[in-house]
Amino acid sequence: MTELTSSLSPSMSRTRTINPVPWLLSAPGAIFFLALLGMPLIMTLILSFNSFDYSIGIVSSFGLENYYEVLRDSYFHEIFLRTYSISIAVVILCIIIGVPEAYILSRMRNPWRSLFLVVTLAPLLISVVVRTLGWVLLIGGNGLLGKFLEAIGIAESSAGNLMYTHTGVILALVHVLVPLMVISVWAALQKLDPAVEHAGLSLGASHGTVFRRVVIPQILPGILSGSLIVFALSASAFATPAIIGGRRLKVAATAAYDEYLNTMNWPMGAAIAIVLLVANVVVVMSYNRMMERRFRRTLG
Amino acid sequence: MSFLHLESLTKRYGNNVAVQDMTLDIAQGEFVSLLGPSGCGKTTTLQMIAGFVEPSRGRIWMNGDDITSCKPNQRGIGIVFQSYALFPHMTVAENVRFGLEMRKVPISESRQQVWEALELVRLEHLEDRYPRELSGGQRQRVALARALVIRPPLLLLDEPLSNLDAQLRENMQIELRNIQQQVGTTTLMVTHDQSEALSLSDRVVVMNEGKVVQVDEPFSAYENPKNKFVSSFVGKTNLFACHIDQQIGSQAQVKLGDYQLEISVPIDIQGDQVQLSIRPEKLELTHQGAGQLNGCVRTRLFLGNHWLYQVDSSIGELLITQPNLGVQGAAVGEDVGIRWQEGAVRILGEQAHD
Repeated sequence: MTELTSSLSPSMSRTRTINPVPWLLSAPGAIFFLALLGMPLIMTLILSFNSFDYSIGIVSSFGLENYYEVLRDSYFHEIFLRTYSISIAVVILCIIIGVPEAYILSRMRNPWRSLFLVVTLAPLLISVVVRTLGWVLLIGGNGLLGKFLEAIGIAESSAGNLMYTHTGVILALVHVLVPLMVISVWAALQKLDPAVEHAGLSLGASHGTVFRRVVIPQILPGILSGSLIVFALSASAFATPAIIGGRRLKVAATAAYDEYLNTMNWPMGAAIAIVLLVANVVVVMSYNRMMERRFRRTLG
Repeated sequence: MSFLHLESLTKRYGNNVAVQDMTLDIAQGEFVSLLGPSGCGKTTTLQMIAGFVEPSRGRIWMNGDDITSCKPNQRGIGIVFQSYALFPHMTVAENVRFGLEMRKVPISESRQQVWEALELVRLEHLEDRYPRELSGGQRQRVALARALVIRPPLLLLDEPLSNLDAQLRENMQIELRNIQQQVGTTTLMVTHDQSEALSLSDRVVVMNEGKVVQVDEPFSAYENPKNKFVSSFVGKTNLFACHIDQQIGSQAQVKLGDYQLEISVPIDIQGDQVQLSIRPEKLELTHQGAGQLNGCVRTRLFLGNHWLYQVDSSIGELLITQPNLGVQGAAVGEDVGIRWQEGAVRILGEQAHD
């Protein structure tokens, strides 16, 4: 509307020039971003079209053979399937743990609420590698879990060894990512009018019904955006699957890493990375589109 | 037997007393308002009746049953919240139906009841809208329909009109009163707006600092305020500190500036330090010398149906309202006389227990 009026008024249209100040002000940030994120990404994309020969190394050519291989080979199928099934399991577990956790936190009185919120979010301050190594101490071959199971006599100590298993990777990823779900649901809960729950109760609903019928639908956008974050981060997670899954349980990120550093097949590694990136973008975008359509009318 | 009976209801938060020894009886079908400034304990009282706040002491009886320890979802009380608290993810009809669903009313019956409730608040054409798509007044009416559809024995209104603009508020007052009389539900409203309380209720409970100050019909509360607090909170008033010169029986001689006033003193007033209260609309402007006092107009506000004057007089500054009878009133700077009818002046205890 403003553009329309400005182009209609003759004095404005003649003197209309681009104001350089906003561009100049945002230039350092934009250049920094392009140099550090855009450039490597473009170089990776170019690299993925090159080919690789075991005797000569990287051959700069242009071809889609790496993509053919990633999309055709059942070895890669298995890796991508594993990546996404782990991610989905992590998302589901994060919802099951994170949503009630955020709700309970929001209902706590103040000294406790702040305390537990810090406890919940504190893991974000510790390196993922350190946290994952902590899990290794717990679920490793000679870890606490095995010793505990043996001590109470329900299983042998080897049953507590979850290294190189799906369970182990999922467990550690959930631990790493659940705070992000809590933050996201927490933000949605802050927008909730506390009187709405009282209204539900006054109309005869039990606490459970109020939670299911009144609270959950209103914080659903928070749950869904939390799921998105958790999904994207677990699908592209590297440190946790690398340490707990190791070579035996490769996911897309660790497979790309191995192509780069073990096989030295950089073009193939680049192709895996690009496929992972594109798949993640597609999932995230379509999910977002679906959410927007669903909530535009009710929750704005 | 009263329908709702509050028996020395008390709520303490640490050392703070939010509500102290509140005892109140409300008859079946009555519309009662809790009126007071913010922080006077009126909302806490409402929340205790609703069951969201646990009383520190005292009991609540409804229809002969002690509901003090009853859970809020078992009391069956209809509540209209200040924020309306509609379910934003449900349509108008779904919002209204929620309470019936919780009561497991079959869908065929509930459809009829939802329709009737929406008809009552004249919103039947908006049943498929979401709350976000409604105006403030419409949301308010959905909230009322949702509270009434469950046919509650008691309806609680928490500042129901405070989020509406002035004109809408007036319309809603009339509508709310009509609906309440039509349905006949016993209603307790919390408000800080004295005009709302006066216009809607059968009885007004004036509260201050957690205590009930006066329980009366709107007219009596306005005309015979018990103390300084009620007289200045319910309506506007002119207050003057005075000394009783001479008292014979219930008749006293009071000096108001140069003017000697004879006034009847209520029995419960003790001591000779008193307050005199004169409502602005009971004062009349006239020619200088024609009234009991003389003064000079300092400011004049035209409010459409009346003027509000601020007049300097020998006894101090007076607020005076004059009805607009189609003639220009006194101008700023004009010398005027101030006249009032015998009995327009009320006497209030100086240190009134409040």
